[in-house]
Amino acid sequence: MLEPITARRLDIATHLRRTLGADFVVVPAPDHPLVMRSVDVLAGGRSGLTAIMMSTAEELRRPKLFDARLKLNMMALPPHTAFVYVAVKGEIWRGRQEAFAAELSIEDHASREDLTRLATNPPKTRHLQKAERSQKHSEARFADTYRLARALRRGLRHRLAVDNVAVSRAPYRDRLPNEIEGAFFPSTPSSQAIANLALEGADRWYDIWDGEPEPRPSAAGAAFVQSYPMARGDPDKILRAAAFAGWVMMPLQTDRSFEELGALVQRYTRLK
Amino acid sequence: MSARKARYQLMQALVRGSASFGVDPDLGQVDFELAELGKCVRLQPLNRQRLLQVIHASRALDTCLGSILRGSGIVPKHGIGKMLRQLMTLSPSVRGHLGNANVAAFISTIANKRNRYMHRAGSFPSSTQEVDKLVAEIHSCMSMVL
Repeated sequence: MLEPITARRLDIATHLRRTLGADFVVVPAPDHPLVMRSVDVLAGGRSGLTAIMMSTAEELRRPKLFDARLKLNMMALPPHTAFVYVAVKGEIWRGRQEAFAAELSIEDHASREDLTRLATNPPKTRHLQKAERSQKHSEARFADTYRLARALRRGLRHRLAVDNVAVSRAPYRDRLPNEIEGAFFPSTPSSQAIANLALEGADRWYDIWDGEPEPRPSAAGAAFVQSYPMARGDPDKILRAAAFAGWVMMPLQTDRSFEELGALVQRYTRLK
Repeated sequence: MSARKARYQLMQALVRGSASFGVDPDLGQVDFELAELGKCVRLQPLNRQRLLQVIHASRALDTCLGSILRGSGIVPKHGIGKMLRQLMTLSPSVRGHLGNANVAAFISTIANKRNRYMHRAGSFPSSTQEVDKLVAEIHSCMSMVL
């Protein structure tokens, strides 16, 4: 049976903390302000940044989810981050090999030493200029998208939900004018539902080309919510991470027409 | 691990993993401020805890922006807002460059809010949520420039 991802993360983080020494910070499941589902372990020290990724049981069944998580994290973390993939027992890896500086198998006894070696001396396989350029384009589009989401929320603070009380897990889907994808949550979406939506949006908004993520020229989607969910410790995280993944969260009850909202999304969230 | 700890440690990893860490001693101080930020989340009284979080987080950002500007050969101006505007003048291919829209957003969500607490006597953040928002925006800004 597959060991839970939390146990695998902790196991690798404990090993790296022991072997890398106090110069490094090793974080299992880091909380990045721009993504809902982060890499599994991040190690930062004098030699640079190493992001370790492993597939969850669901990602093994649906590799597109892993692909989307990889795209979002490659776009969010600095371009000099080396990504390393760790395969689980018996796994046949069918992913994007060119995006990873190295691929290891947890079955291999030498893999732990390899991880320490890679974190101490991360391979320089990234196209730094290309990655930096893509990130700049993506950040500019994110700024506009996030600004639009905050502007549409203005005046609705009283509708903010605390700690995801009433939740809806799956949205109804429809299209808005201007070919804008719409997702309609009848109540407060759970953070899990927004995380799933974010992974779906990543496919529409980003691609990986030659091992580096690139923004795609599509407009964002519109995620309609009855009330806004909040994450503990970072009240705007869900709104921000949704915007980074290509979704403008907006209130279900609004004076604006769908035509007007579709035009706003089209105008503000295109790649410039 | 709590969400807050997972965030502080991520920021520390980004600082320690940046190319200038170890070269510019100021980044060591940024790392120190982030560690202090992680330590003050349970302090009492609440007013002091909130104000300390604002101080540690904004000092970390202030020094971080200054270090990036100096690394690009620019003398940093005084104040987060002015330094954010200076980052716009960097070449877009340089790590640390910020575009117009991001600078405008961070001036409104970080610089203006932070100034309210730092320069007015008797002024404290009114809720933990308010502090969390400010600190999260600071983290967001740092994650884009480091």
